Amino acid sequence: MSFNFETNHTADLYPNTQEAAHYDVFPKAIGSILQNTNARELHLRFGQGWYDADAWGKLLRNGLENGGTGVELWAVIEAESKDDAFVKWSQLTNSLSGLFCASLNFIDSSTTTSPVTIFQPDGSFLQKIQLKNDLYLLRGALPREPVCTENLTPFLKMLPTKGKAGISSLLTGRKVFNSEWSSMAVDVLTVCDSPNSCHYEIKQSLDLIKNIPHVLDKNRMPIPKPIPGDEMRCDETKKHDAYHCFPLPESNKLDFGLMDLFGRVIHGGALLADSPTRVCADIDTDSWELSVNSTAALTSSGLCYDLNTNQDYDFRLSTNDSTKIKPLEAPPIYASRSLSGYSQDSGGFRIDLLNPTNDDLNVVVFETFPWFVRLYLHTLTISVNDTTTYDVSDRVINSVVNEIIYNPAVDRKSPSHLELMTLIPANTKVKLSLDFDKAMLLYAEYPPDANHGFEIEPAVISIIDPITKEINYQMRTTTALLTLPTPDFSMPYNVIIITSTVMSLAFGSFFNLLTKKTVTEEEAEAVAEQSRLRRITKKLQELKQRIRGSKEAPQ
Amino acid sequence: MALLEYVQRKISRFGLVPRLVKSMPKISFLLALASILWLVVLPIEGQFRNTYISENALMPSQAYSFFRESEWNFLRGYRDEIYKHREDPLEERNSMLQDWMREIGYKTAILNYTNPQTGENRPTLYAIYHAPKGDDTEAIVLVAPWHTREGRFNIGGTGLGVSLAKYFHRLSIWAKNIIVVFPEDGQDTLRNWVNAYHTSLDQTGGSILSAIVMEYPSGADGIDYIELEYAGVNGQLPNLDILNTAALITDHEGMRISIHKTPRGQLWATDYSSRLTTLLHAIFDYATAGLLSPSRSGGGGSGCEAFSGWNVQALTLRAVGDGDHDITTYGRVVEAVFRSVNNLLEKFHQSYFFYLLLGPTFFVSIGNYLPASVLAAASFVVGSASSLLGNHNVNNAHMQFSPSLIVPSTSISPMVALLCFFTVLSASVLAGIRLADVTNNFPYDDLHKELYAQLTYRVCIIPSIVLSLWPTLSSYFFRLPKSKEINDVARFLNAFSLFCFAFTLIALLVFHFSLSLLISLVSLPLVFVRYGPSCDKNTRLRSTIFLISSCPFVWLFVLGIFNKTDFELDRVRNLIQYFQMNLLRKEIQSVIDWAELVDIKQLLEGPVDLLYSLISGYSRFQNWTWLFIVISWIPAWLCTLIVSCIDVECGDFEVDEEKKRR
Repeated sequence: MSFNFETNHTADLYPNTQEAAHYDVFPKAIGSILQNTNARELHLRFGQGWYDADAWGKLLRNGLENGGTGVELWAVIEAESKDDAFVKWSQLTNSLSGLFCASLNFIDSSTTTSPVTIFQPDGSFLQKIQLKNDLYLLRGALPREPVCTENLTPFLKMLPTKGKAGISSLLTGRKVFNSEWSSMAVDVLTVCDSPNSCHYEIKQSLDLIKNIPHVLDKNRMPIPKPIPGDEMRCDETKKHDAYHCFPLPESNKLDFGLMDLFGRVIHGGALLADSPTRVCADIDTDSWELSVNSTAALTSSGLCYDLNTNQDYDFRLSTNDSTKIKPLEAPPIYASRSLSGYSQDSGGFRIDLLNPTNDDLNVVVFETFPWFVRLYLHTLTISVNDTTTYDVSDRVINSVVNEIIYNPAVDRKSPSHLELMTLIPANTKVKLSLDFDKAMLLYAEYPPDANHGFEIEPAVISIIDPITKEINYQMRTTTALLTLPTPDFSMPYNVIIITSTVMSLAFGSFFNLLTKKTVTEEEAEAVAEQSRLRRITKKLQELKQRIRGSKEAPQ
Repeated sequence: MALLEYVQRKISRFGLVPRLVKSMPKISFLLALASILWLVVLPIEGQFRNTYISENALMPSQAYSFFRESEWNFLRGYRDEIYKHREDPLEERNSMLQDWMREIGYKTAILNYTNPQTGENRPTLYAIYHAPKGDDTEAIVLVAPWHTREGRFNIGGTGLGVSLAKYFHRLSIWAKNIIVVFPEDGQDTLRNWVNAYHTSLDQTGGSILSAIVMEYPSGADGIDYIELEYAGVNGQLPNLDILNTAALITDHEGMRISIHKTPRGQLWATDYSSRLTTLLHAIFDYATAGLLSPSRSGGGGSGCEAFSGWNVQALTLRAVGDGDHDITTYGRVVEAVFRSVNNLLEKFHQSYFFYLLLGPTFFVSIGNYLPASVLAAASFVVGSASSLLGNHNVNNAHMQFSPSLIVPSTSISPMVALLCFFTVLSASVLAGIRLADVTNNFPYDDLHKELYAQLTYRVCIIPSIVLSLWPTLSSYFFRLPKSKEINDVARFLNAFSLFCFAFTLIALLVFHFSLSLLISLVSLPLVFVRYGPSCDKNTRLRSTIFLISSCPFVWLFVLGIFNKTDFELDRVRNLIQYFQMNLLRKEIQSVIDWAELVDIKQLLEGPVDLLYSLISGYSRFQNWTWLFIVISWIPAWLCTLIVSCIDVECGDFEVDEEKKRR
């Protein structure tokens, strides 16, 4: 399921501060942020879940408008210098953080990179206009960010209908984030018709994957109670009695409406638009049936319906054979990334790339790692079809990896940034692996004891057209969960205690040596005889003897 | 300081130092005794603690489980189908299950594996359920081997594996991926899958947090209780939290849980003797994890050993007996453990990995049990010092200790001793590695069984016993001149080898407490071996006895045979706890009955099995017990043997005095 919205805004690239800016359908919140930070392009992605390319096929719109798990942001900022651009960038992240209720303000220099081959700005507007300053591309991602309702609400508020009418009225956090996979994107581009007239173009999209039988099941039975005995579907060819039931696959019968999927219906058309909202169904009418449930009068042409009132509309689909659907388009590449490594202090990444097509593909693997992942580029090995493995020093590797762009990390300041330009031959599986060491953090840098580990942001895999250098397809792997070696933090206290004990013992003996006189044992005994304690005990003993003597004497 | 001075003065005044030096072997013995006493004290009320869940997020048994009613019919449906195909070749069984798992909605793949030991093809089927909405970074693994460790068809386990997989797919609670694995066995094949998962598999589901191995080789519907196994190789234990979770859940489901082979009758017992029995069993099980196996597979353990070293909290849950609890109860236990691990937002608490269990709900923490092993290892330190101070020279028996004795007459003699030690050490390591290498070239099958039997008896056990006799034999024809150098070499070699042994034992005890403790207790006689003139037959004979009783290969033999006898510690406990003449008579009778029936040949295979699992342990399971033995125990034993064979004609002072006279 995919929801796409586009709106345009007309404004000067360098507005006159005296004039008031006008906003109609373009969200003001975004507009003013863009003006303040000189951002010429802005791309924001929210993603949740794992995309199953085997089952769901190719990503929509070639994956160019989908993000990986967490939040991802990149922007093209016009600024005088790199430092200036970075100041603008932090301003942008902070403003967006407030706007989208996401922790975007945590994007700082230690997570920001400047990609070289992908995420490049769409330079078409540059040909029409002379910019005053240079453009800087900056990108950051937060893989640990849970995407939820509080991110969807501002997303809907940016729409002209504010999510109150049209198809956007279907979107509620409860059902959107209950899907198997979801991705939200906001793209703002600058489009120039002439040097004097430039405008921002905003594209918002929201893609969902829903497992419809699962959703219907859950609507029917929110608690996964066992299936009642009379509803069990058993395989009659196998042993089948009161005790045995070999389950049959799920039934192909489906009957569902928008209400079932979204918990809502469409609240009328978007009436402020020039043309009425139109809903079309693209179904095989032989096996699917469409019915509309609405109090309003319907104007339809074929399978399309115009929603030109503010009444509720519910659309219902039913079939006896749910396998009769549009064939899935297979993705041009499959990629996955896994962590490897046996011990606590070192590890490795393995990226599996499979090119199922009959053409060679130019693939860019873009990865950024936090500074505490100490990557060793010399450990890069490549194995082709699981048969031969090459080291980075082998010449053969050049036939797969054309170019490596690598910016090493600076501790606590910037992440390492790796772009591998590879050529994956047709119908070939290529395995790239890299080793790394885990750095020790400072005492205060460790998260509290109850932590989950550190997330490494998804690798971005892009297929590049060899001639135009444009991205044909883009996908992201999952995040990787890294556990750093954690010292036992109660140890410092033990060390302090032991050190103090040793110090006091050492001090005591030195003090003794310095202040005491060395004497022979006999001398010491003689002196000890004279000590007060000894004298008292001696006297006491004498006293005792005298008493005893006096007692014995009378006899 | 003043007090210490005072004590020191008193000691020197009463001449305690020489007396103390003379009684050092006694101190060694007392230390070892104290270590045993320490262990025996641990199960006393007040010395151990009740287990508790340290990580609140686990919330065991907080949800009502729906693995019942119609799921029960599905379970039986699947089980019946599997039962029909139990005789099929593995490939066909795998492909049948692969179809089922795909139907349910899992992603399946097959890992090909050829067992290097037997040359058999044992492909492993595994299926991954990527949790919807999840971020695909962590996974929980359910293992249902086709055959249990005894080689029985795991009909209940595999049936339950499929039906649980189906049930899990219906739930929408999963934050972590679920992986279901069907290896042919829970030993080498599973280990190979785990290794491949972390190194080369294409289809993965993130880092494995926890794993459960299910074994239930029966088609019956009722079970009696659950046996929990958890010890990993090299003393690695799973986090205590997951054990507690499993124990608590089983209890909630109304079943008893048995750890360390506690028999049914003792499952309700919480008295001292039952705790002590479990404790002793636990120490033995930890030390021999992955080495002893009832089947002829040559070790490999219960299944959870396969996950050792990859930071996976693995348990083996084994349904036992034919009782009142339904098989779905067993499934619900597994489900609830999965739910608990799934609840875990963070990770398992970091300092909860070192413990000794006295029962499913009692444990002793590392600080309380470690001293036992420290005491045992300390007896070797004392022994080493005792040897350095000349106690082990029989000729010194009537002498007074003097500090001047420690200093060697020339610097050459300690060098010679050191050289000798290192030669022995490297020879032992080389031979050990060579022996381990044999397993790479010759599989452990019926064809090569003879080779391994020869290796065990002709190369290891018999030669070591013959060597132990050498001190006695050599006394008849081996003489050396009186010399201070020979005295020194013997003294230093003895002291040095014992010191190194003590050092390795102490280094080991933090990682692998049980192994360190057991080795130091059984090799204790090494400390009492003394050397003297070859005419002193008494000393020589005593040395021989000590050497035999501390020989690694003799213990290998004893342990191997012991493993083949169906010895139950619990029966000893029963006999001692409720001592009666009748009971004793009955036990003796059962031993006699057993002895009449036993097949000696099969008994003698025990040591062969054990040796094979020891020397192949590293390459198969990264089990370094054999490497440790080769580095510490064998060199110490060999050096002590050499020392006891040296003909030392006089005491260390006599030589001195003779020199002075000259």
